Amino acid sequence: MGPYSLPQPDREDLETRGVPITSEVERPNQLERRNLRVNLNSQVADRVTLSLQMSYLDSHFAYMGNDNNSFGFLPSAFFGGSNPDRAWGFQRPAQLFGRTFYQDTNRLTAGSTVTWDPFEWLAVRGTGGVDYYNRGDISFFARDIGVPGDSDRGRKDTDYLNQWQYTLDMSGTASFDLPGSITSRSTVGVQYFENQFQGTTAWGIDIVNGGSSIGLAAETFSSEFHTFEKTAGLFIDQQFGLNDRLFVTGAIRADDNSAFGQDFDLIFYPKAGLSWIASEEAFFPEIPFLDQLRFRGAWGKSGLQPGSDDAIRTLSATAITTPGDETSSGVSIGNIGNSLLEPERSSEIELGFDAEVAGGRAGLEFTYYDKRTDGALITVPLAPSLGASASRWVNIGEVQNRGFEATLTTDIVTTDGFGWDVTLSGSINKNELLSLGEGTEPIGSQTRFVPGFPLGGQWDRPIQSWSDTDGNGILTPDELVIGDTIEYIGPGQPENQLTISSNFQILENINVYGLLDYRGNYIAYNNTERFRCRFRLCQALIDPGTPIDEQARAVASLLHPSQTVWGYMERGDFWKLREVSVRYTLPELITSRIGASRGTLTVSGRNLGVWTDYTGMDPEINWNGSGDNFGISEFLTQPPVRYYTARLNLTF
Amino acid sequence: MATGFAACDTDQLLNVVDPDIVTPGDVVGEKGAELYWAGAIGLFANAYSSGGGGQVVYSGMMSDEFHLSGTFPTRNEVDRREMDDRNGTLLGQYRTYHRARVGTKNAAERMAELLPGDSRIAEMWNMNAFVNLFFAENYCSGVPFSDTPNEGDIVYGERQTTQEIYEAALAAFGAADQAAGSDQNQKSLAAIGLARTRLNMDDYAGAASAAATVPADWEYHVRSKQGGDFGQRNAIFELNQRQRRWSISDMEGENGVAFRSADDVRVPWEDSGGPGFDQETPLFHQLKYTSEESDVVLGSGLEAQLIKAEVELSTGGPWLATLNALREGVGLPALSDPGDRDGQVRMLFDERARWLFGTGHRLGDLRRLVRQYGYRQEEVFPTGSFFKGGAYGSDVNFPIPFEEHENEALSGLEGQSLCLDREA
Repeated sequence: MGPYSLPQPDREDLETRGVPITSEVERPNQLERRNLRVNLNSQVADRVTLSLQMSYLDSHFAYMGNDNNSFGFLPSAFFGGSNPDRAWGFQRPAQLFGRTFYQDTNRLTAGSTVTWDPFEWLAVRGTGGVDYYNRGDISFFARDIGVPGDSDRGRKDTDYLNQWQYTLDMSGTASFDLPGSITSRSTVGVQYFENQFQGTTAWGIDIVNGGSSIGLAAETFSSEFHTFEKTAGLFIDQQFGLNDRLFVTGAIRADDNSAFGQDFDLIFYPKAGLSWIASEEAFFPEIPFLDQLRFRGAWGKSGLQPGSDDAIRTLSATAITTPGDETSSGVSIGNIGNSLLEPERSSEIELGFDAEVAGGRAGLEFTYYDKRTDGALITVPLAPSLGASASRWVNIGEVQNRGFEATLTTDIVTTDGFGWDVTLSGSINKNELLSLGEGTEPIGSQTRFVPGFPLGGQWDRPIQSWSDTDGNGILTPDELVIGDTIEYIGPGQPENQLTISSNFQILENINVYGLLDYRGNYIAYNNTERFRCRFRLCQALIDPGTPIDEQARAVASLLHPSQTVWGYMERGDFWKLREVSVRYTLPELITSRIGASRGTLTVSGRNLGVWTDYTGMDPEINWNGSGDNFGISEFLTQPPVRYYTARLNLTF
Repeated sequence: MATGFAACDTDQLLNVVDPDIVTPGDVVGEKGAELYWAGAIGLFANAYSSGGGGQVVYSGMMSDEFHLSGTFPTRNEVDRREMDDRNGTLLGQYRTYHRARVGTKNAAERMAELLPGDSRIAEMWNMNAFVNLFFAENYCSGVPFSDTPNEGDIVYGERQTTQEIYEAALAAFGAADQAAGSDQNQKSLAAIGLARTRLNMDDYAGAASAAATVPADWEYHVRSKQGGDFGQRNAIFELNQRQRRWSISDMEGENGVAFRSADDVRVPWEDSGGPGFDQETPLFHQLKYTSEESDVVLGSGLEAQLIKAEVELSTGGPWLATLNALREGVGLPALSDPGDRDGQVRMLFDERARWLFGTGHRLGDLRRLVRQYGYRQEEVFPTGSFFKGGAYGSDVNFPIPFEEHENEALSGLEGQSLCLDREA
């Protein structure tokens, strides 16, 4: 159950209107989930094994629908005013609680793996699986609930999605010992993936009292949509080993995908790798505390095919009524397409080492990588004056991602009665658009693609200075100096990440776990506050005592002709205490009484603390979900809620 | 195994058919051309008077015909005349106009190729011309016209002055007149469009000449139809009576026309007895459009007579007699000459406001009062305290949305307003 609970006065309001007080109305933020898993393994013949796996998940998730939604809880809270009749921005609490908004999910995954070892040197493996996913998103307003517009006549919206994903993976591996302590392992395989997606959307308005079905609506609408994708690949992998410490690998794979629309060619991806346990060589010097040192290096190419219909121009079809009052289908340009679209191709080098020290009590993995992508696939907005779709896929010139990843694991204390381990995992990634291609101008406006800067970096005209020259404490547009041209503000995604986790083992049956996370060097767009200021609801435009820098960004965004959002593009750097949990292992005296072989009780708290200079609600939330890969922007978005769980695990 | 896979026809193996996708190659021949025509009819209806908005809705909101009884902050900006170029509502409206402009042009060209002589070609050019006219009447100077043909490469367009957009409208109305042949309906539509455009261009003689060819009892209706996801529903009825987000105004912002209190037969209305969508603004229903299926007049002989009266006022002709003849037709008493220039101009535009209520003319008229008659914007537009808090701004037109910066022909203007000017 989430933190929202129907207040008593609003319960009475809804009851007066005859609105049923369902579980979702009572507690509109709730999750109910059931999960069933089955694994079977069998030796079906002398050299043949068969395993079957099946998993079923069923969930019911009720939520409040925030973000860009006048029926969300937060938008109403943020747009309230000082007038008691307008204390809520869009809806009053009763009407927000009275709307039912939930998502039902069913997911069935099933797979089977067969292994066959016809000879000592040959192993054949085949895996096939299906992943079926069904989701229903439902919104329902009971009749006479007291909301404005059509919804007050009773309205239901449903979006049902069905997705089937099929996978097939078959390979054969031949292993030989060659003369001179050389080993050889050769693998050949094929892979196939198919994705079918089908959805129907429907709504009904004017639903009689007591009813909650679109079938009871006076006005209805329905639509249907599909996606079909298929990918097939073939790979050959050859590895040679020397003395069990030097391994050299070479491989090549070929991929092809759905031929609908534009038929992209088969793509070949080679790769090569080297792994060397140097510390086991006779010549390697003795280094105190060092147990093992492995060097590794790899080079490879990979790629990404455009979606099957991303390249082609498509038409939208709609039903229209002609001036002669005839109903007809009509077409107009839908997806604008891009006939120049090509697969994205990447080449990456990785160099690193793994070290174990102090008798296995500490380990360090370190990797440097440099990845270059030619023709990176991104969606870019289209100029509305084209009179077509809002965006399309393009290849952009050359992109480089390079950086470091490191993980340090330590067992600091290991005694009979107390243990303490710490794991640090961090990365630094520098993303840079090296070129856009000959003759291509920088793309985008606020989120831009400019050579020499990160992909999708954040830009706008800078607030260069401000001065309350008349000394009245209230900043006006003529007291601001705004730059004439847009400037780079910062990357849209964190460049630096660090995760610290730690376990404390106390006696034999208590374990305390903590997880601390850092993200740094990126820009988060506080669009919630900017938007409130546009309607003069923010402190900066109402309270003359507001700090002058806070006024500056509001005045620049709302009142200055530039309308620059520079001041709301903030450093998003943060530390978050994501989790603390305590696990207690039940004494055998208790578990044996209920016939269990083992039992644990775990109490956890999630999202426990945030430390940041960001002035919005949370520097990590994105109103557009994962839809925007290049910027983090909140817009009346709910941050992750703090919650606590208690879980009892019994093993029989 | 791998050899077998490599040998198979992967195109066959990977072949998929997406039933949602229709390509230009699927829509060919004369029947295909008719589908483009029908699609363009729908696009134009959306741009003018149906669906989620359109010319009649947003120009009426920005002027004094309607005020907001809803809650969308972006619509509030329009009503308050202080608009952000990042306003999402305006982006949708701007895109809808361009879709109609491009769709009607593409359909006209496709039909001219496959159905030469068909008068629906004239209909497409007329609609294309009206969209151009809406851009010129509603937007700041500088709207670019890019192009997306049904097949072939996209072409980014440079910014155009308002004068250039009016010229484009004239050219399209001319093409419509040429293509109309003996179709008097399309000829009249082209003529009233020409007259309205020339009036905007301060060419009174040209306006009078074009208007004179329009029969007095002629009307062209843009069809409205219930059903679908807004689809072709009459947008004013939808937003006023059904959704309760638009309310009919009365003397809005000090300068507005007394649409309600005058109780004029040309602007029928009723008090809904309750608040609008925002639960606080009294909701007044307009009764000119009585259902989602009420058609909206795009051009008429009545408008031609109003243009004639305005030209007469400018040339010393019998303008009042022309207005009074129209009033007599609906049983309204004759008007008396106020005797001074200001009173005469205000009377003429008051009459236009009532006759043409809810047809997307009022914003253009207010701008003409500033541009052609020398009034200051605060003397004719809604001004002063805004009824939902704050004050009216000084915008007299819509800005070009920020997203137009994606136009490759406009590179180098990043961070700048794309309007060449925001004058009336």
